[in-house]
Amino acid sequence: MIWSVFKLSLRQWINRPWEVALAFLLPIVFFTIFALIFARGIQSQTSEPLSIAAIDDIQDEFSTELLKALLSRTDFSFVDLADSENPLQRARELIRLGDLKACLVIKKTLTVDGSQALGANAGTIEVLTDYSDQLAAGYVESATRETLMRLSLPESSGAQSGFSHTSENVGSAIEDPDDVGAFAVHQVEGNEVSLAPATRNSNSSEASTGDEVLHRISDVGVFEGTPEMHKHEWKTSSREAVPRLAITMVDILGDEKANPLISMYAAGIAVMFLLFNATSGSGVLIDERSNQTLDRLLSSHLTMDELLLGKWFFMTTLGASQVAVMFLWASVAFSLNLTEHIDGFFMMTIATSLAASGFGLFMATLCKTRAQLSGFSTVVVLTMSALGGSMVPRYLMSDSLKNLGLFTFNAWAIDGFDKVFWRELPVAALAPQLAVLSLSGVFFLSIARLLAIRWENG
Amino acid sequence: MSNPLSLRSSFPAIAVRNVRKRFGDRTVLDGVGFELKRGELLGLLGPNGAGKTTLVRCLSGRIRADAGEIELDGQVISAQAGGSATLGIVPQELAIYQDLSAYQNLFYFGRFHGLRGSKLKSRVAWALEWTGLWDRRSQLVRCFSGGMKRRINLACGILHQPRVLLLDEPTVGVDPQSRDRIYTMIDSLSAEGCSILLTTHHMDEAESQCDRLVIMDQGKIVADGRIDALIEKTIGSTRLVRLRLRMTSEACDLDDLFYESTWNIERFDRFKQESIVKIRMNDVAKNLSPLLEQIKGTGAVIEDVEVQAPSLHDVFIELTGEQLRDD
Repeated sequence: MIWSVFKLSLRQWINRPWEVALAFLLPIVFFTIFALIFARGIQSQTSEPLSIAAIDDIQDEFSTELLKALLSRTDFSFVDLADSENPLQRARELIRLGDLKACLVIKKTLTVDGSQALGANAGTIEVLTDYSDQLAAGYVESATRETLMRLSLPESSGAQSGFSHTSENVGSAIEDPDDVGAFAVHQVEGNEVSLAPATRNSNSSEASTGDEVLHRISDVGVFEGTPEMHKHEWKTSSREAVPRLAITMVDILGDEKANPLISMYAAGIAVMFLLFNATSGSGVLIDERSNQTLDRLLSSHLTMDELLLGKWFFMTTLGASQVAVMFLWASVAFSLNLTEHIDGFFMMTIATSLAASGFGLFMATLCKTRAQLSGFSTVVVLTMSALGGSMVPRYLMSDSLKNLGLFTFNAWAIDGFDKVFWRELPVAALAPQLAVLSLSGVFFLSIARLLAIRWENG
Repeated sequence: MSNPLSLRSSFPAIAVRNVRKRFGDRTVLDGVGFELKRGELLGLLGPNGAGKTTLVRCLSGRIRADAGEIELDGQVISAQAGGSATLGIVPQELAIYQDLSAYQNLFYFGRFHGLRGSKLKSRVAWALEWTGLWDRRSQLVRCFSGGMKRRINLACGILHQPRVLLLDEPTVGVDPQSRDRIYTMIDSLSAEGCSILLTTHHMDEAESQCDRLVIMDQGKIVADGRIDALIEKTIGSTRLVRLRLRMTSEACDLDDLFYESTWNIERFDRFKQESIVKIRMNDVAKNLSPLLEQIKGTGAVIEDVEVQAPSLHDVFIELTGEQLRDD
């Protein structure tokens, strides 16, 4: 009997060719629009302390000083990796799980003498991060660079206050970094930034005319200082030379992906469409009630339980098909790696579709007319989508909004798909998302069943 | 249709006893009681809001009566009892899927009524022939005319060969040709022994099609019986005689004749050249000739004589009044 309801619903749907076409085309069109918008990134600010960790393989004077300075910042909360046998691996795991925003790995000695300041052995700070939170990654990068620069400035110029006193030491900006040498932060392939010795040419002293020069080009641009900087003493040390540093940003999750950000937005769009389609599809129940088809159906051997279950399964199947088509499109057009994550994708898609279908039936049994359902569901779905991260990434939201978002399917579904495609976690890690979504589906279906009692009683 | 009455019994098809139903403060059914005999086509009449639809929903088990008892084939039915092989329902609305074809509608409603396999296919084929829609079985119902939709609506209710059929205004909104076709279909069901309860607002249909009539008003049964008995009981055997008279210059005043005589004048309209008079008459064969002679005696020319037997319409209005039932 349930199978009959399923087939009937499928038959109805197939007999509406425009609806069939739109069901698959609209998600693709909207997904494409949103993907193009979001792939360009969003800039905003955050007020939360960011969880970061640090691994200092050198533990010399300067590196200790650097970490001390970073630890003192109120915008960071440090995660201690001292108990881990392999702190680096642990840090990578935590970042992959989303529990850590970044990890600073100081790899080489940062202490050099003045004669070697422009030599080959530059120190390296690797900032391991997760670019799915672009804001946090950029923030950690900037903060690290700022701290480095502050420590690099001479005590007399007010190193403690960072750039505030650089007017005494920082001279005119230069257009060509090759003209001055010393230090340069080069943007490498978009995300990777390094502070490395710049080539000093014969004109550098003329160009700088004895001034230290700090110059930034864009947010991830170029930092340059003159060689004279290393003649000054460090604020907290007696070193006479400025260490040569390289900051390398490492996106440990996205580096190996062809189009890393697409997977994040595919999930957001998918769940929003699932909710819209589920509420719209469930409206058939209202039609059946208004034209007495429900009376006729319930006067047959069909029960309300079977009717609702049949529709639930149909809408789940339809929703899962839509999501599958959309992700297939994403894999073809946007290089999303679908095949390697097919198991997690399948589970998340089914769970999300179950939840959305249950919610749709709940909305339909709650409303009295199609028009009421249409208006009500549009508002609810758009609100859920906005709060849940379908429209704007949740990392841009405040804590309270993020918590509010947890009451939406969107947030759980997006987190789940994020684990599948971005963090590439094993399917066992999807347990919370699968449980919440599946149980939500059952919960809303149960509420729909209770609401439908009034239809059974006339 | 093959034999729908394979399990005949001595019970009436439907027995309704003192059924009461209230919605809030409003009493919709107030002690309703009647029987639908086996093989009978019973007309259920009543003005809007009389409680017909509520009664039909009680009969179909869709809602539970507050009090009273309803038996179907001798078995007391309860609300939400699920489908019954005994009962078929044809709602007033087009309770079919517009975005399915005629075949698909019949197929799925047959499935929901428990038909399977070759039995289902043969019943669907029969229904398509019965409705005259075999050639259009693959078309979507939304492309059908109102009459065709009504026929499919009817067919979906009888695929499982019910012994009792509830028909709620099956011909509403269709043309005379479609009405005739639908009643031919209903007649064929009735001829095969199906007990039918028909609710309608078409008095002529009820009068010509139904074996017996039940008239409801304000939640109560106000009349129950065959049409002749109802007429006899309410209006009697009188006939309405309608005369159209042309007034000549020689004609004297007719007032004396009609107002000062013993004729039972129902209406008398006088115009310059013409008068129309309606007279209620008990024994037309005996009294009409003397009346006509008297009229001729006045000098008026009798242009037309029409004798009307009392109709179900008259009975209905007599029993339920002429007041509109808009609420």
